[in-house]
Amino acid sequence: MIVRVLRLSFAIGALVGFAWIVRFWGSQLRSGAERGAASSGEVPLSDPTGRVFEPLPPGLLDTGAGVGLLLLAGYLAGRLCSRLKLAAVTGYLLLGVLVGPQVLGIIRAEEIGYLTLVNDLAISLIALTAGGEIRLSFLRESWKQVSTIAIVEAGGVLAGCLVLAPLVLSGAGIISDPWTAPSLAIAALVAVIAVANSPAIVVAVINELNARGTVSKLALAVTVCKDLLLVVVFTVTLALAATAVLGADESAGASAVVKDIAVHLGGSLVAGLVVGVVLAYSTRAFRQHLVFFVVFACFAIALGSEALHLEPLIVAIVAGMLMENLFGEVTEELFESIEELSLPVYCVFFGVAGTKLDLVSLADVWPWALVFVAGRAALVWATTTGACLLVETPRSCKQWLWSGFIPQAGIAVALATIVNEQFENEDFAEPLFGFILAIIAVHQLVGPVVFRLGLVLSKDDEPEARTQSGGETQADESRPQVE
Amino acid sequence: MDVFLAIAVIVTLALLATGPSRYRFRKSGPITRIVSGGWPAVVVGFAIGPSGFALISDRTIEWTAPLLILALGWVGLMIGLQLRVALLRQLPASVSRILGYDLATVLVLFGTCAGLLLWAWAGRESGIAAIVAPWTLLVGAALGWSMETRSLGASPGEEARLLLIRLGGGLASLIAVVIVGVGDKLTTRSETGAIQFDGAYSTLALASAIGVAGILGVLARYVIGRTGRSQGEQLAVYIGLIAFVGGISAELGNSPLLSAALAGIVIANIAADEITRFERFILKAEHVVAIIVFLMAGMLMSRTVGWWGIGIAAAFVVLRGIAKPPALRFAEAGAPDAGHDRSLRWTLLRQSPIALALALGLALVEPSAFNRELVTIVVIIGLSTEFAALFLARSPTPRAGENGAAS
Repeated sequence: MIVRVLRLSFAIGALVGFAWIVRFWGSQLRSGAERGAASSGEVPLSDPTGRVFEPLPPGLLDTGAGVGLLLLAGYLAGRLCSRLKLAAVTGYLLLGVLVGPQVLGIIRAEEIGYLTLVNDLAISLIALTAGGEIRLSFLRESWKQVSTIAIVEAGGVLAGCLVLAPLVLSGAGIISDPWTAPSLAIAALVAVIAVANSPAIVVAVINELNARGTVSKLALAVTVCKDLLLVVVFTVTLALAATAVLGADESAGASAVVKDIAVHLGGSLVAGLVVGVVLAYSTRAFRQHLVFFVVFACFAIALGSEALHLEPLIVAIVAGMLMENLFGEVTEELFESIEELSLPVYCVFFGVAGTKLDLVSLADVWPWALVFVAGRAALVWATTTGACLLVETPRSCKQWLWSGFIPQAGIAVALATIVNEQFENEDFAEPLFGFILAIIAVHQLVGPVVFRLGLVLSKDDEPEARTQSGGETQADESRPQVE
Repeated sequence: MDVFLAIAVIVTLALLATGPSRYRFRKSGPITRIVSGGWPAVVVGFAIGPSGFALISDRTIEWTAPLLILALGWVGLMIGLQLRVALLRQLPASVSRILGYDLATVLVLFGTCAGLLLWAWAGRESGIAAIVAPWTLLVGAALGWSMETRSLGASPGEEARLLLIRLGGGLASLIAVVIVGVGDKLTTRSETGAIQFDGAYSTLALASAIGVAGILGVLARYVIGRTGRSQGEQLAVYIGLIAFVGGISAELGNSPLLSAALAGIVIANIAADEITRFERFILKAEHVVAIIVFLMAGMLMSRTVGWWGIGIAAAFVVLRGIAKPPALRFAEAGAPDAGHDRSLRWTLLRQSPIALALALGLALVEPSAFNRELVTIVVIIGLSTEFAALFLARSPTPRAGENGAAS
């Protein structure tokens, strides 16, 4: 065990060290004009016929090495974490932090913009996987549990954080008087973001352990339902907060908000159905290169959703659900390819997320961030356990289901970014954004560890858990294990 | 958004072009064999690129540079992995003869022609240093020939000659990659942006390219050895390796092709059993990567190639017609002529597809108008020689059971 851990650590160290040497030595090795032009654009470069041209933007050529490093070293870091009984996702995230601009600087800030292209691919892929994991038979049997837990947990966390957030924000110096209408409006936004979970981390940890028991199924179903609910709640809260903080003139009207929700949610659902049918019928035609087809499909979902102002996450979840439940046999190979792609995509996606973790913000506000994290964790535990007592759930759910609602990642960051853009001219915008990112950073790092622990202690990863939870299909057995 | 569109278009076309229906189409006749090969991808690339209908802009093409690095790294590794010392020792003498002949004729005939025409086109104003990299590209692109032999439909007695064509072409590709990679490092840009010779820089850059490739090869070997058996793990490690090797070379300002090929040689010669899986993985995506390279070449083509460019392309087509066909006879000198198919020698006319990758590598590092014109020249030569070979070589009859895949 120790030898294997040491070997893996050495391999990661060798890869990272090599990349670090090349990055800093490489920039010295490039010729004078290449360096000058790349950094400042002051030296005009001309070709042999005297025509001037612009060099590639700085960081673009380095992206290949960045992706390679996140894949190779990320894979090894994931294996190392698995050996240490931690979630592989934690390994990818920590590697991202290590090689990111705030620690070693191997992946520079200007490169992250190019690397985030992978995010859109990853979000669609993760959402397709999440959708494919939700079976209608399970929902039919457990709709009472899923809806009760989702409503009680989301409502409880929202209500609790509505009280907690003003106090913490005031303590951190982001708002002055916690009980005025604008302060409460800002706190409400923080509370809504605190409800958000990470389907990506939930799916990644479930896949890593090949957990197919009740805890994992309920955690995923509730997370997806909560995210659908969150789109509505967040849009309404943002509109109300904008009115309270900016005044009626600068905020969107109520009718516009309703229209926005209807188009956003309804359009995404319809688009998801269409995408699901198209993918199911195209699978056979592209059987020879299914992995490439999946990559293309994920890009297409991201591209189409962006163009139509839809939510790619919802589109892909609905598509995944439709394919699994209506075209199960036809799309079995497609889901196998999605699962094959999961590991490399997770390595890059969570690695990039790690490079973006705002350690500076965390360092500034860490005592108050930790108070909020602890408060949220207590609320998640209390409301989930309470909800599990209200409806009939196995003992493992009462004890450990809450662990699936601790992780936060992409969705929470996206919501925080929208809040930041809405209030960008206000004094509190920047510190508020930093504070929310700090909280998400903690949840991003701690969440996978807690959820993995929950699944292991609830024995959700053991073969008996699958048969007990029911609904196991032939497709489950044939799907390869990720880790 | 544009970048997504570009990637989506490239990947879709690559998938469509490599689907099973295309193989069936390829077998249906000589013209359709060309049409269903990689060349339509060039045409499509040109049509959607900045010189065509401009559906994809120059800036967007630049943003797809990481995809190109990945593709070039893939090609480089594919070439390097073939070079196992143990296998080289078993090569027949005819392979050395055909390679020697090709190298000599290319350096003398094509090298002289390229030198004179490039000097007249650009060297008079900018100096010799400015035309060194373009010269090595044209010479490298002239080396060897297309290794694809399945579509030739030669009779069963021709297997040895077809093998000679494939082996000679494969090894010539590696020499071409080395020539272009070294040529690119012989010059550098001064603080003022002028292209100049710099011996110290060149030596250091080449040493670094070789050293880095060696270290990458060893690292790659280590990681391959620790890869699990699941498809996901292999995908993560193999794609990671290709991106890392290609990316590190690009970061050092080196050709991703050269470093990847050198790393491939190191991996091939120190690896154990696990390497077979890696090789299989690399070869599995050969068609898709090839189509991506063809598409990108089409997108980077320029309409401003001018008379000098057309002149170089025409001269090279004629020179290929003169110099390439005798190579087969030279390699087989002394061997009994047992009624061999003489028309097979015209297939050597076809330019190696590696030429496109070489040209793209140059245009990737420096996205100048001149380098895009060089890409255009290489495409014109490739397309012309493909058509010329089609009419000069014997019209083939596909063999039974042939699936049409490129060798």
